[in-house]
Amino acid sequence: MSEPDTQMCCWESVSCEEFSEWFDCDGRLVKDVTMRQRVFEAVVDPSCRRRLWKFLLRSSPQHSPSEQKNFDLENRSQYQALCKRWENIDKNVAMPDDDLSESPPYMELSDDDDGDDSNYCPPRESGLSQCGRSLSNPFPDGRAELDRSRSSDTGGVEPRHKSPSDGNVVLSAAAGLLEERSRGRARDNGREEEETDDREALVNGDEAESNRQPKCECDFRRRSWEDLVDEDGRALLSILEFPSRVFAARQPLELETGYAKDKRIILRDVLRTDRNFHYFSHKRNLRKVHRILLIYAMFHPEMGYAQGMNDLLARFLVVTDSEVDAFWMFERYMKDKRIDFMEVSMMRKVALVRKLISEIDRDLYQFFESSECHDYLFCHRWLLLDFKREFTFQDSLRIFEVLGTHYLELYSDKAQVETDKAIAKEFLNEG
Amino acid sequence: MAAQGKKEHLYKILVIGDLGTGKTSIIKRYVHQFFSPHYRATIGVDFALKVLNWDNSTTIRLQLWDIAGQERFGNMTRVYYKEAVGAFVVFDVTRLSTFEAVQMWKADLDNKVLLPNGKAIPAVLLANKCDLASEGFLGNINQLDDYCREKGFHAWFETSAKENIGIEEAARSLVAKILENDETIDHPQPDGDGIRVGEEDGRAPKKTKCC
Repeated sequence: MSEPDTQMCCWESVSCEEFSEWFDCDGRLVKDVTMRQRVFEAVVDPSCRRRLWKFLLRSSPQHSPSEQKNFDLENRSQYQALCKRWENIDKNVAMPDDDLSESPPYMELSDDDDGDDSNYCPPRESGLSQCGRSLSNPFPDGRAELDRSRSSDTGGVEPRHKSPSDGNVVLSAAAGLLEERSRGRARDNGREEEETDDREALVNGDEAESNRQPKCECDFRRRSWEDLVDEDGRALLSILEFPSRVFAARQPLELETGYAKDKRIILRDVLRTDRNFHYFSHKRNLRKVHRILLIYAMFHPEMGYAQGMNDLLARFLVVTDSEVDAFWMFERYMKDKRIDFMEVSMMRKVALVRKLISEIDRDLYQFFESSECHDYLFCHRWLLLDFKREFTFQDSLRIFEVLGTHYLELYSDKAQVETDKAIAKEFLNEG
Repeated sequence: MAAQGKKEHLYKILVIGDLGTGKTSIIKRYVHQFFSPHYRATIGVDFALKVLNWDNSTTIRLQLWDIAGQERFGNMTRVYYKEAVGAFVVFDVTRLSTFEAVQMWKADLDNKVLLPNGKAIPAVLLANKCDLASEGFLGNINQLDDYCREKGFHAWFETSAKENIGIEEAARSLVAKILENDETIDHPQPDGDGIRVGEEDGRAPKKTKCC
């Protein structure tokens, strides 16, 4: 609606009211096909984007609001546990101490650009960090400085490798009890779960609040724990702590596969992540990118880090503005996307583009052929990053949504209709 | 080479080296006379075109292929290297590991692309970010001559994309070597008009604006 880019104005838009019609009164998505069709056709109000993306990524289970809240807490608890385990291991992973410049790159991340990260201790390039908290776990005192706990109105991100052995049987029972209690209390107090827009809360957040927890490196300091999670939520989090630790401990880990190398590359790339986009002019946001990529690389040793992941993550961070949500969204998204980071499958995909063009645009195809251009490798970046670099950041969010609907793939006859429409429009324009 | 009229050459030049050594910055400086500390990591490959009026009778178009530093897509680089006639191998003087990677890049290059006469394509080594160099590195710099001879580099230059040091000179040196090769190689094409770059011909100029 208030899309700043003027080019967007020519798009039809989906208002928040229309958006909410796709859900039932409990917040379950009931019009999946309509949603995909409308998102394909029209621009959704940016304030609905965060919620939309969780559904587009198929990362939001169909939960009632209270289930959702527990689910979000679980996500947070698990991320927190991963973060701790990562921190413990990471500080012992050396990177070659080869930076001879006067201001090595990690210094850049520690620059205090917004004044509230005074305790940030940069990761050292030289092996064992002198500072125990090196990359600063955002949850240093284990008190779960919670992300803007997205209570009921947001979807959560899908469970990952969940099995009863993760402690989830106990967990769901406990959660169920707590949920009941919490529901009762919420009614008593006449206080509904926060449905407020988080962005607003962030903007209006009290700076004094952030000072209260000066050591907290997380992005959530502007809303205190109390604002977000009631007593039951906190109780649930403490119950979750152990299974989350088990979950974290079960993540695969093979440091020999090149984590140290990834660590070095990640640092370079974090500093090159959309720095011209205002969100990433803040170093504290760059540090979120840094942590998420390191944690992902550590616990996905078969994938590690590949250039371009920072670009993909950047969109999730901007849209969710939450480290926890961005991590799980990224994690979920990479399950499908990882194949693109493998050479064979990317080559195959690029070859498919050639085939596609030969089918749908014979003239263009002939042009490429006559230019002896057979490899189409110029599509590599487009496909890898979902056209992120080819458009402005804001427009790339829209592209991501359109691709994320998988609308044309689901209904290939619709693709034909769309093509016909485009031809008809062109015909009309040309008179 | 035909002497009549103005000669035009189109040369495909590769710019390779470890990530974060400043390949994109060097190209931006050379082609657009511009430096920014905020370039994004190159994904796959970027292109830029530099036109040189070499002398009164020769125009040279350098098609610069800026190749991503992470060697995750090794077979793709095989395609990128195809029909290149020269290369810059870049390292960052503030990071020893990027220098150690130079021989890996050079070997990769020699392994994947050769001149029509079967020789290695001329490569120039760029010691980039020399504005940031500390004493430690500069102390060893004299040994680079030996290193270049040993590894088969045509020459090496200290460069700084930020301060615009050494890039023009390095390019001149590489182009001179390419021209020299060009004259000694027996071209099957009757016009002998530079090396055929073929497939990239049409699209390179368009891509220069993309990065």
